[in-house]
Formats: sequence, structure tokens, C-alpha cells
Amino acid sequence: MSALENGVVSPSLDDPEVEFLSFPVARLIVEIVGDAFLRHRFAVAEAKRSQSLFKDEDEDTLISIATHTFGINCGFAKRDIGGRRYPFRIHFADYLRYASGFHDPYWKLVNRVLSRGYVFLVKEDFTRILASAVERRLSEPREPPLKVPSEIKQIVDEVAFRVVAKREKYAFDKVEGEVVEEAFPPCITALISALQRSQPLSHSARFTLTSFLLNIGYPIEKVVSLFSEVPDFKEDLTRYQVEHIAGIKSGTRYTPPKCETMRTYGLCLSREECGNVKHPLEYYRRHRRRHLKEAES
Amino acid sequence: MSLDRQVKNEVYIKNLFRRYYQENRVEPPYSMEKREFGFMFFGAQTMMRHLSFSEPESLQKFLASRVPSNAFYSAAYYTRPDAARMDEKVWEGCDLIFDIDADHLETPCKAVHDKWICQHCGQSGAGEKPEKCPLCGEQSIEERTWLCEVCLEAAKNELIKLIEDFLMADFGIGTDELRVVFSGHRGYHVHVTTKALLDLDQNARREIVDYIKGVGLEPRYHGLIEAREGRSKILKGPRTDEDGWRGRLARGVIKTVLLMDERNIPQERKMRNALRGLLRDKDRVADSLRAGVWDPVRGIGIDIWEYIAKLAVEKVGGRIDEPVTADVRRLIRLPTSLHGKTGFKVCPIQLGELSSFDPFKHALVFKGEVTVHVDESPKFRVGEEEFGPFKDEDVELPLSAAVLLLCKGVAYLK
Repeated sequence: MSALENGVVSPSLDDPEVEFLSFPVARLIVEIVGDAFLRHRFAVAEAKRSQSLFKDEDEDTLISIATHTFGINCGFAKRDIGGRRYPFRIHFADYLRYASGFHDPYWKLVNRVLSRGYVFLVKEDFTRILASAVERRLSEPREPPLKVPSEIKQIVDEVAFRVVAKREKYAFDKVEGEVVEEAFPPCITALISALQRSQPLSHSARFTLTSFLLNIGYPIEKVVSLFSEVPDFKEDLTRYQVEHIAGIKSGTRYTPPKCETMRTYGLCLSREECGNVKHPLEYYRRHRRRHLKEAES
Repeated sequence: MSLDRQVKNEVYIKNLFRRYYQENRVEPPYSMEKREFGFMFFGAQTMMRHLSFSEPESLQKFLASRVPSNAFYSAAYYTRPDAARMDEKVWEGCDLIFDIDADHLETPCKAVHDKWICQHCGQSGAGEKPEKCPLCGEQSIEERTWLCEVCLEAAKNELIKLIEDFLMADFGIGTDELRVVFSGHRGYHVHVTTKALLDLDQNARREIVDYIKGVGLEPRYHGLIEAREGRSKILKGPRTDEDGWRGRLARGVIKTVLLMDERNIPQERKMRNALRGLLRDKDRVADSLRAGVWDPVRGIGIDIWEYIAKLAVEKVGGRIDEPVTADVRRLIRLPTSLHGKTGFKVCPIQLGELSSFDPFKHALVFKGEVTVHVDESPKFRVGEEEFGPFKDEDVELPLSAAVLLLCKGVAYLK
């Protein structure tokens, strides 16, 4: 018990025993606080740390960790491709499970060598996948213990307080305030004008438009009336669908797809004009801010 | 077509469908008790959804008594497939589905057999429907697509490419994990039931789609690069015998160079001159690429190869319908049920019989003959016989051919 307390109080880096124990205690605290934001920050930090530790491990150890700790279907490839050696291979399903969230085009499956179900990887990439697995594992909520020692309880309260302060800085889901139509991204503007010309929209297009408008503060009524322009408009059905996307009944409010997804669905218009934006709402947020500033000055 | 003729047609077809479902066992999907079922009915536009069947008999009974015009089931597995709301169903996983549809392939015959009709002024034309009516400017335009051998053959070639080049060679999917089905209309479906893939989310499935279509492919990640060697720059590229997209890209570039001519050269001057130089010597360039040497002609820089690589990706990438694969809650046609737009069977195909599969022969289920009045129909084949083109005439046809025309709404019963 005292070792546990020591681990929390003074996490010295050169004492392996303390280092070894500080992790489960930290994890315990995270679970007792039970906050998704905190859990995510913790998971990301630990994943980064683990990746730098994996760098010094040999190939056997890495494969053993991947297989036994995370159940990843992988192995030795020992393959030379284009003059470069690829020591590892991993089944594409596991590759996608852990890497489909990475944004860099380098990580897209289409930019990988895939053969007979396996993706070939260099060591650096393999450790990144492992780190992603660490992050995923730590992001899964666990049941916190029923009884918490008072020393830990104190820390938990302190952490919980700080989480609230930090999180306010990051709150970004819904865009509050007046709607600035001039700041709509080109994809959304195109959908609206298609609607106004009474063109029927695909399911994914309707979903995108609806979720976008709801997220920037359009009331449900206004979204429904926008759809009244289409020839096969059915008010009941439209209202039901819009309310569903707004999360009225289920509590899950949907956000529009990210730019990458929009591209897959053929809804994205121009990458250049949008600059480095990854999400239609991000485009809106930036341009809205710019627009309001200009309007002031 | 007048309403009573339409009703008469529907009653007739419905009776034929009923007999089919009374006499033929429908193959229930794997883990049928976890699937949501959905049906469409004759004379109705909406789909009845959120149904579930725990054993084959109850499904069969439903089909034979209610006689749907179209039958679907969810590619997804749910804990409660009959719950009315998606979040109550509890999603457990989803088969990986691919859809190849002739609608998305450019075939020359579409201009001949596909028609559009303006709902407003009645103007009509051939080929793909225009955005708005050229006569009255209205946008409510009805499309009448036809299914033809050329289109379906193009779809089948795409299907074979998808299965052999992508699913088996690259994704390592075994023949026992694949189920191929003729959709009953203009395309083919592939169902992959591999356990390890069932839990993949939309993002992961979209990555699979992008891989097959070549969306987001950057040639530099497949070895097409400009490398420095001492003072000079040299071009390097993938070899044709390499795995995955590397080899496919190399082969695609060769194919593209060989097929390229003046017409598809871009306007930009530098690019134009460079490409002309390349095309003058096509065969030698192709030989050089086959040997893995990527700078056979002076003055051809990396930008030219990247341009050709882009064309090559479009040429050799798979043509699949994205949303079908990416959507993990979609309903898909029930194999061995009947398609309401054709009367054809949604027909499972053994892999070994893929190349010999003939939808106009193997997907037919009705026997006998009947005389119908055909308003208008292009030439088509059913079985070994060719029929049409017809215009405003009474014709005695094999039942399957007549049902096709009745379902398409271009004929009516005498």
C-alpha cells in the first residue's frame, strides 16, 4: 500500500520499482475520475511514451507484444520491396483497426504494399501501430473499484477539478452564436443550391447537409423547410429524419462526415480552396471567425 | 401505361412470384436469426423493415403468403434485429459487401438502350438522363434503364477483377469465404463472411473501398520517385511483378502508354511535347518499363509519369459502388429471391462457374409461353433466343421474357 502511495506522490524516473507501479495507480485514478476527456489524454500520453520505449525493443519482442498482449495477427515478413527491407507484416484487418484513424496519406491502405491479406511494415510503422493499440486499450473504460483509499480519493478530486478547467478550453463540438452563411464550405453551399434547384440529393448528401446545419445552430424547423423544395418531399418523414440526426430521441447527435469521407462519397468539391481543413465544420468555424472579424473592422 | 393495365400486370406477376415461393426453397442467409429483413410489395412504394425470422420455415412461409416484389436482409448482425430503432438493435458486426453495378460503368450501348422521359412535357431521349429537360427545362426526369448483355458482361469482367486481383491476391480472402450473387438486374454482389472482418467500422471499410478504387493513391508511396545519384537525377519506379498496387501501377502505366494517343494528351505545352516524345516510341518505352527502367526517354520528368500514373489508376482500379461497402447497416438483396424489376432470380454463382455464368439463362425461373402487347423494347436475348426490337405489337414470348417486359413496364397482358 505504501509503495502505491509512493508511486503516486513521487514518480521518480530512475527508480524502476516506482516507475513500474506508478502506471497502474495513474490508471486507477483515471478510472475513478471516470471522465472521457481525461481518459483520452492519458491514453494518448501513454501511447506516445510506449512508442518511444518500443523503439529499443528487438523484432521478436515487438511481435510477441503485438500477438500476446493485443491479439494482433502479425509476423515476420523479411521482405525486400523497392530496395527497402520490411521486417514485419500485419493482417490488413488489424492494420485498419489501428491505422484507419491516422490522417497522413502515407498511412492510407491504398499507399501500402498489401499481399495475400498482409500489409508489410518497417519497424517504425510497426511500433506506431502498437502505440495505437496501447491508446485504444487505455481508452476503453473499466469498472472503477468500489472502495477507494482516502489518499487516492484526494488526488482524484484534485485531478477531477483540473480536468474541468482544461476541458473548457477544448470544448468545440457545437458552434454557438449567429449563423454566417458566407462561411459555409463549398461542399455545403453546393448541396443547398442543388436543393433550391429542386434536385434530388443522395442519402449521404442529405445526411451531410442536415447534420452540418444542425451543428451550426439551425433549428429543426428551418432544416425541414429547406427540404420542402425537393419534388418527393414528405414532411413527416423529413422531420423524423432530421430529428433523428439531431439526436432528439436517441441522445446521439450526429456530426457531418469529415472531408476524407466526403471525398469517398464524391461530395467534396475543392481541396485547394479549403486549405488544410479536415472537416466541414472546421472550415465553417475558421471562416466564420474571419468573417465576423472583418465585419467588425 | 393506364392504371388498370398496370394493376393487371402486377396481379399476374404476383401470382407467378407466389408460385415460385411455394415451389422453391429460398436459401436463408448465414446466422439468419441475427439479420434484419426488409420487403417491398407490388403496388407499394415503401419498404417494410425491421422484420426478423428465426428459422427458414417462417421466412419461406412469409414469402409464399405475402409475396413481396423485392426481398432484402441486413448485411449486419444484430442482437435484436426486429427492434424498430437502429440504436435498439445492438449492432454486432457486418459482412463485407461489394456491389458492382452496370450503372457505374461506361458502356457504349447505354446510349442505345437507356431512355429518359420528361415527366413534365413528355419529351424523351436516349442514353443517360440529362440534368434538365432540353425542351421545357424541368428537372423531373424519369430514367428507364435496360439490362443488356454488353453491360452485364462489363460488370462481370469488373467482378472477376475484383475477386481475383483484389480480394484474393491482395486481401488474401479465401474462396470459401466468398459468396458471389447476380443481383437479378444490372449487377453483381460479393458477400465476404470472414470472421476477422465482421467488426470493421465504416472508416476501415471505406479504406478498403479506397484501396480497390485507387482513391488517394500517391505513386511515390509505390516507388515512383526521382532519386539523386551523385549530380544527376534518376527516375525510379515499381516493377510489374511486384505485389499489390506496386505491380498493378507498373502494369497500368504500360497499358496506359500503349493505349494513349493524341486525343488524350493535355493542352499544357510542356506536358504535350513530352508526351508526344514518349508516344513516338511507345513500344520501346513499354519494353523499358517492363524491364524496370523508368527513364527510357530524355526529358520525361517525374511530373509526366505522375500524370500517366493517375490515368493508369483510373484504368486498373476496381469499379465498385462505395456506399454499399462502407455502410454497415445496409440491406442487401436476399439470394435466391426474385427481383421485382426483372422477375429474374437473385442468383448465387459458384466461383468456378463465374466465367460461364449467363444471367439471361441461369437466372430465369419461369417456364411456358404467353402473349403480351409490347409498347417498345430494344433487342434482347433470353436463353438461346433473341427477341425484338419490338414496337407497339403483340408478341408470343417465353414466360421469363414476357415477365421481364412486364416488370420493366414496357408491355402489358392481352
